Amino acid sequence: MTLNRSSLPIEIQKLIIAFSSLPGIGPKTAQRLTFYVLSQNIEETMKLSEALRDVKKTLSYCQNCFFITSEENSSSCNFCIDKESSSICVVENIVDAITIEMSGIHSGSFHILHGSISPMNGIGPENLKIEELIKRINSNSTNEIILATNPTLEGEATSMYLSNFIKDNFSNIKITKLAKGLASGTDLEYSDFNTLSNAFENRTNIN
Amino acid sequence: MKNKGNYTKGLISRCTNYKDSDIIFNLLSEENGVQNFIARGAKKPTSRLSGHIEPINYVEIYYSSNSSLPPVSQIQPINSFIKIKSDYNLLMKSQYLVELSEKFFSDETNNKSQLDRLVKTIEELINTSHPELVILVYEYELLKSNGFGLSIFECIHCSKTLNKESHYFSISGSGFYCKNCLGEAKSNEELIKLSIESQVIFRSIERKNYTAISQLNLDNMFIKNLSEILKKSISNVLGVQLKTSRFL
Repeated sequence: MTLNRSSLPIEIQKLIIAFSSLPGIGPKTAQRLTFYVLSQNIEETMKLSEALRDVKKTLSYCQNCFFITSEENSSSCNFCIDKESSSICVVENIVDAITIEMSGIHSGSFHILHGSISPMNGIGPENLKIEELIKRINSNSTNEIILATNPTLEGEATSMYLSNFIKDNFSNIKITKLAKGLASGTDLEYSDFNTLSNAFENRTNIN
Repeated sequence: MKNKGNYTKGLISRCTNYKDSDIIFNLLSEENGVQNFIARGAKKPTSRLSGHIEPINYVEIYYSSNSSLPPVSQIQPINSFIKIKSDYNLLMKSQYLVELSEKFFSDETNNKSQLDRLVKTIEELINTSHPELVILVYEYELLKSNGFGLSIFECIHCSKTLNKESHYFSISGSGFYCKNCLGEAKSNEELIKLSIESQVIFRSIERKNYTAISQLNLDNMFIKNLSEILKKSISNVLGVQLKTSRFL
């Protein structure tokens, strides 16, 4: 008799399916994780299960900057409460905000869009937190919007859409964008035309 | 024995991040339809492949194996369409053209003429004052070259030459009904009334008389009507609505 996945107990099958719904995890890895969980003692497994439940039960998005918060009143969070609202750095996702925050370069506040405009995937401006950003600009004394979207096609499309919209509706707000060009450690020889032209366009005077 | 390297030319249609630093991308290739490739380490800033792998980049690709997901060893850019990528509206239009072409690219056959037409159309978007018309011509030619051409000179029911007047276009019939045959249309058949002016634009596109088109009164309404007909005909052929069409 050959053993296939459908002959396994239903609980194991359910866990394999649940693991394989995670990004980057295929059925083989999901199966390995399932049997690892099975080999662990009950306390360890309960810790994992509680952590997963708590993430969804107690956390929500701050209604101001859209970072994650555990506070009940989510109109502002620990991440945005003490920050200057005159300068807002707009990023695609939470990880980007954390990266910039950890570098200590930006002292102003953040706004997380939770994605980027991607027509090929059917994601438009209405699927992002753009309306919320506009409301925020309207209600605060914002002087500058820093567009820190990724230098990908989708990130650039989002940045172009936002800059056009803000330019048309808020003429007194300064809009800036992160510089693009050669990265440290790259060979000029292997740089693409796009990167080179950006580097030349944004070259700086050093004398 | 070491595998001899393979080479192909094409336009990158979409990219997906894979693992920590790899990118899987689709290429509308000259020879093999839509091909998938993996660029290992392409997300690292020091990668020699980074920057070249982006949708709407026309590239030459060198790869070593014939597996279902061959790893790319070298990429040479041909055209990155920088002007397109710095204009939001043109970018949305180009994405529509790429998604549309992706649906019509056939596997295992030579797609050179189709790829050349796509690249030429994206280039034209930069220089034209009527990007909607450029898209219209592309959609019309694409349907025709794939065997779904529209019948615009004769009635689809009686085959008589159409008079110079407004006629109803049938989406499922891919052509016009003359006045006498309009009653033959099925009750559930979608019909769109088209003015003489719009029909003239269609006929000029069919005759490839682009000089005549440039001299016509290209009212936005006429182009909008033609665009609606072509988009509905495309949806009828493909059986799906393109995701990018709502961004035009």
